[in-house]
Amino acid sequence: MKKLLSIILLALFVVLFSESGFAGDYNFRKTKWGMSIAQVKSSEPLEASEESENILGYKTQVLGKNVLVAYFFIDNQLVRTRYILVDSHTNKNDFITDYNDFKEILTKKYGKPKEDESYWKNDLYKDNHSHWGTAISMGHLVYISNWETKDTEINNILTGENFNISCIVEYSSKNLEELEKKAQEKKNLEVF
Amino acid sequence: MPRLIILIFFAFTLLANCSRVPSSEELEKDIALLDKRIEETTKAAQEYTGGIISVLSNVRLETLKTTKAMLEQKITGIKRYIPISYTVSGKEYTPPENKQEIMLELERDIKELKEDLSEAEVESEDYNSGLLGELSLSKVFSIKNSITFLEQKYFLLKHDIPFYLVMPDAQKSEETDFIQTPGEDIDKF
Repeated sequence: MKKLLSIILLALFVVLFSESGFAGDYNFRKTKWGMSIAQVKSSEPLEASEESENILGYKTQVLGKNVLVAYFFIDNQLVRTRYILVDSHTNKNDFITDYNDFKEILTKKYGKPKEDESYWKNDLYKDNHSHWGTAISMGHLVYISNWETKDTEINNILTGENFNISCIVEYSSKNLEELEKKAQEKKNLEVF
Repeated sequence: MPRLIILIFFAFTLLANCSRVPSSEELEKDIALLDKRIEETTKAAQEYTGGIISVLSNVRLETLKTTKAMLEQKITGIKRYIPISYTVSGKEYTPPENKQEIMLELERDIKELKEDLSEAEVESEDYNSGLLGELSLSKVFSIKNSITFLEQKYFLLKHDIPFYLVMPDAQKSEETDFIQTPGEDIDKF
């Protein structure tokens, strides 16, 4: 009888701990890869600012910065998410600070980045540090850092074009990568 | 006899208080002034059909019309013995205690702007056309608008009408659009 009771108690503990572990194991904010649009919606305390067949968008703040949160779905499964910085700066160099702030918190959470680089496609402003923001906006300079977890690839990117700068933190599912590729191929074929 | 003195005293007090409120004559005078300005601005707005000067003229015209409408409402109320009260955010509007002070400040600002206007008008006469002409003319119209805005505030304050900022606070709306969700930032990454 005592043995049976111990087994029941042990089973109960295992179930309880595995449940709590499972519940807290999020991939992005309060979501997990493969979640449906309805599940993601219920995980967000905000009102969606954009909603289409495969995309959910929210306006929020992280690290005191105004960002758009975008959730991307394929066949009603969450496959990719993004934080897109929407703050603007008169001094374009301030975007580098934003990028570094994102890098810092991601490093704090996921450890040292797998890749942490800046690429000069055009050296025009390379020797003029005060113009690096302008260099990014012209597409001359790109910053990239990335991390990898068991299920997720995380990319922190600072890039630009036509004098506009994009600072994006992107999360994508490793397991659903194939599904995303197939959907993209199908989409490409539909064009032709 | 003492009763008569008390009555006379009350009558004087009442009259003295009434005299602080601008009369309908003053309202009529201000409305006539606004009519004159509206006529001038309408001509200017018709003269320029596009571009920044047309926009500035139309803004000025609408501001003047709004001010006139507010004063007309007040004068109609006085003439028809309809008491008009204004309630702002559930509270009845009472003119600010330092009303005279604010009015003096506004008068001073308007006077300064009128001096700037004279200078800008002289400057714009030097250019007949071209980009510089357009720029100097837009400066003239911008100052005229500033004067109109201050005069609107002045007239409304003078006649105890609350002044509303109708334009939405862009910064505030932006702030409310982007709301921080509960929890630590690190958990959101």
